[in-house]
Formats: sequence, C-alpha cells, structure tokens
Amino acid sequence: MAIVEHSLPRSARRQWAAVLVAGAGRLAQMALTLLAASFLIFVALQRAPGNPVDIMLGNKAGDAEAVRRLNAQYHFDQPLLVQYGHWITGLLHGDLGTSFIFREDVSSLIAARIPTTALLVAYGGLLVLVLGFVTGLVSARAGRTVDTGISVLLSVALATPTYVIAIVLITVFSLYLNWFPVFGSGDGLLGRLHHLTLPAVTLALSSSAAIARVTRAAVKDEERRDHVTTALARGLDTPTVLRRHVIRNALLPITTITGIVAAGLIAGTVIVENAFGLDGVGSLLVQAITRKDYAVVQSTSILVITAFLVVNALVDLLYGVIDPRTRDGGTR
Amino acid sequence: MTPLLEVDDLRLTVGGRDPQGQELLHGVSFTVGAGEAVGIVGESGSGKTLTIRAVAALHPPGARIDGDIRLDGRSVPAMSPRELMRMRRDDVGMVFQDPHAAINPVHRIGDFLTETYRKDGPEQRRVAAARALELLHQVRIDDPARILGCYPHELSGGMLQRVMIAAALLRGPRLLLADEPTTALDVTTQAEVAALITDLRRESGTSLIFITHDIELVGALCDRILVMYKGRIVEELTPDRLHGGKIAHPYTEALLACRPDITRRRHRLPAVPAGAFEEGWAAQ
Repeated sequence: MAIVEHSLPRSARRQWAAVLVAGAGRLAQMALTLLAASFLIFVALQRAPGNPVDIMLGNKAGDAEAVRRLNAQYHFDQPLLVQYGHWITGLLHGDLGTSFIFREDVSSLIAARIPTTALLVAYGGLLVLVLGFVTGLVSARAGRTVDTGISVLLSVALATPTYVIAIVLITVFSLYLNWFPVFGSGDGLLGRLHHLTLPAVTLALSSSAAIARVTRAAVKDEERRDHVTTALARGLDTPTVLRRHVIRNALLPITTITGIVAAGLIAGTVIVENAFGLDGVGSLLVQAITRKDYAVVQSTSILVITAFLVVNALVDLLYGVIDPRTRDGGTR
Repeated sequence: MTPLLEVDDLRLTVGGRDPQGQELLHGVSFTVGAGEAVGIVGESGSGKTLTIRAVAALHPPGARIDGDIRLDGRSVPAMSPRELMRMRRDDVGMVFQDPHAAINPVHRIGDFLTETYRKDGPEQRRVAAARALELLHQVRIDDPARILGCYPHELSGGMLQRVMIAAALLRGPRLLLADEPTTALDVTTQAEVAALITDLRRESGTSLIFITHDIELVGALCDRILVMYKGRIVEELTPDRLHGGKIAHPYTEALLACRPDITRRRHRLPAVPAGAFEEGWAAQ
C-alpha cells in the first residue's frame, strides 16, 4: 500500500534502462550457456563408444557401401566441428534434424511428448511447493515432538533414491490398494492427472523435503529477528506478525532453494518417466542416448537446459520482487 | 496520585541447568510518574534491557516473572494476550538500538509507520497516513512524502531512527521505552536524536524510560537516573548529583570516574573491572 504516489520521471526512466540492459545481459548469458552446453553434449556423445551407423544397419553392419552412404547422409564422415556447425545451423533455422531410430522429425517427436512432461513437472512442482512449505511451517511452529517426527520423515524422504520411492509407491498404491494405474499417461485432463499422480508424488517427495527443511530453518531464523520484536512491541496480532514479518521474509531463502529444486524436478523426470512407463521427454532422452540417436539427444538436452535456465531466470526475477534490497544492485 | 508505571520487586528467572532456574533481575523496584523521564544506566548484562522489555511483556519466552508491573494501576503480567496487544499498541511506544535491524527491510517506510492501522477501516488509515506525514515533519525529516515511499535500506541510520521514533509516537503512547536509541548512531546524530526524543515527549507529555551507557547523556535528558548493576538498582540519582554530589554506591563512583574529561590529562581512562562489586560491595 503506497500511501503517497511519488514519481520521479528521470530516475524512473534510468531505472527502466538499467532493467533493459540487465535483461539483455541475462539473455546473452543464457544463449552462451546453451551454446556451451550443446557443444559439450555433442562432443561427449561423439566420443562415447558405439557407432550410430552400426546400430541403424543392425545385422547388415558389415556392408561397406551402406556404411559409406549413411556416413555421407548424416555427415559422419566430416570433422566434428563441421558436424556441430551443421546441427547448430539447422537449429537456428528451426530444423532439429531427423531421428535415425524413429525415422521422424525430431521436432514433431519432441512436441508430441512435451505435454506429458510439462504436466508432470507442473503437478510435481505444485506438490513440492505446497507440501514442502506447509510441512516446513508446521515443523517450525509446532512443539518439539512434532518437529522431531517431521524431521525424521524428511530425512527418510531426502535419503531415499527416486526409483526406490517409485517402486514402493507402485507396490502400495497400485498393486495392493489399486488406487492408481501402474503405468501409462491416460486420456483427458482428469485421466492424465490420475495417471500422473503417483509419478508426480515420486518426483516431488525428496524435493519437498528439501523445501520443508529450508522453510523450517528460515521461519525459525526470522522469528528471532529484531524487526519481529518491533512488530510485537507495536501490538500487532500474531497472524499479522507471522504473515508480514516472518513468512514474508522467509520467502527469500525459500525462493532460492526453489530454483535449485526446480532443476532437480526437471532432471528427475528422466527417472520417473522410465519407472512409470510414461512417454515424455525424459524417457525419450534415455531411449535416444542408449541408441546414440544424436539429433534427438541434442535437441532434448537443449530443451531441458532451456527449461532450467528459464526457471532460474524467473526465480531471479522473483527475488527482485520479494527483496527490495536486491533491486538496484543491492547497494545501501 | 499513583505514578504511571510502578515496577514492584520485579524478579525475572530463566530456566538454566539449575532446576530453580537462574534469576537475572533480583527485585527491581522503581516508579515513573506521568510526564517524567527516567534514565537507566549500567554495564552490559546489568539487566537494563530485560527490565524495560518486561514492562512491555517482551521478556524472553520461558522466562518467569515474579513481583508486579503496573501501568496505570493495571498489572501487566496479569493481562490477557488481547489486553497486552492493546497496551503495546496504544499505551507504550518502543525505540530500539539498531534501526536497520529493528525495521523490516521488505516493507516501505509508509507501510511500516501505518502498519498498526491495517485492521482499521480506510478512513482510519487515511488519518493514520496523514498523521505519519506530520510526524515525519516533527522528527525533522525533509521531504517526508518521498520518504514514505522509500525502503529502510535507502535511509541512513539517523534518518531511520527518526522514523522509528515517529512510529513509536504515532498512536500517542503514554510511555516511551527507549533502549539505547543512540548507541548505533554517530556522535552528531546521537545528540540530534536524543534532543528529538526529549522535545517530542515534552510536547506530548509522554513519560520516558531511556536506557544508555552514556551517563552524561542521561543526565541531560532525564529527571532521575537509576544505576543498575548485576540485576539490581544500586543507586538513584538526580542529574545535579552527577557532578560533585554525594554518591552512595562504589559502582556508581567507579562509573563516574570512567568519564573522559577534557580538563584532566590521563594516560588511560580507568575502567570498571567486570564483577568488581559483587555481593556486599566487598571489593571496595
């Protein structure tokens, strides 16, 4: 609630210019990161053992003429940098190449799988935030017994590998209780959500434990601050103090950990989609890597990295909104 | 007439290894009359801050309070949470040592000042906003309308402490508790802030408890001075006795001897050794 609207046109304009410059810098940084990451993945894949031409030819692998023809078709006979150049030029023109394995455009291959993965990450992310935040807040505010109990559960959730969580959840909720399907993506939004519930919970469990821990620590930390004493000394009621002074300020570290956790969520889809037999981007990536489907691996990795970069940019943006001190370069 | 504040044999005990707990205030008694200014001096850990926090019931959670604190005849330890909130909001204003720590960095100055009016209607909030503006004027802040839209980190310590004083006086409290309000500020700002507190409270007839290490400052601001040592009030002075008056307690004497004096040349300022005046003032 700004009581008096104050506008300082000149300094406001200067501020906008600063924002634009910072934004452009950020975009350049993201582009550079993508370039470096794509090159690293390209080189790593080329250097890894196994030959895509042999895989494509199957039992005709000995046919020298076929090998030569395929090598020429996919530019495998050219130097590494030239091959990378071909791929990146195609990418910039919107051509992601063709999958050797699926004999299909990489773009349509990926596009078909994005909805499943996007829904899975969104569903999981929502669970992470709600579950993590609520658990952390309860843990910070509750007595010692509840706090210790939650702390033990969080340690278990953090320490258990994702695939083990997946197996346990499938065994309990699909096989014994029969509440959720074992695999597949489902039809319609409700069907999809039903199918995606167990995968999303699997994906969310350890991440929400991380968020819960940070939330608990941040809330406990903020409660001890001098400004909270001031708020109490001014006769504000407990819910207001909690909302405006404790939680509001605890959002800073929580936002930081959310950015880190988001990366884990995106990477976690690879395991979760395989465990639950979902045909998303993550399972596509695994199939493509095992069969050296260069074009698919490259494009899928770029997509995953881009998603990660965008999430992090959003988190940084959010940070500026939450903490006024970080807005103008953090100067006092 | 009963005084505004009566602190009566106040004992504060915190839980320690000892099942009995550890007593930090050993029967503190004093009164503050309406419109009176009382200073409390003493070294760190002597119980000054604990005493005034107990007055606003802001003592550490888990601490036990014995004895009584009465504001306007009403017992503070006996108040319900709701009464306590109302007392803190309407009757007692507090100013703390470090304004940058004591004011939440994420809210604008205007929001901070009028925060206690959030639950009131829009009409009340408008009145509060106008009063905030007027108070910023009174604490001698230039361009108060702009300051209302600033964040705490954009203001200097001295400016922010003025904002804190304005916030403490916004609802017209009857008692102002100032816990070393000048310690974190540089020397010129210290004098200004101290003068400001005195001027404003005299105008409004607000009573004051002023805590400081600076015995000269307290002599200039207050009607009476309480000297605290190890959780007790060991001496009550009037400002005129600071210079050549009769001093009863050796700690006070030692404290006064530590003041720098431009008329005397000394190699080192004397210091009061920690714990020098234990039980029965034996050391002297």
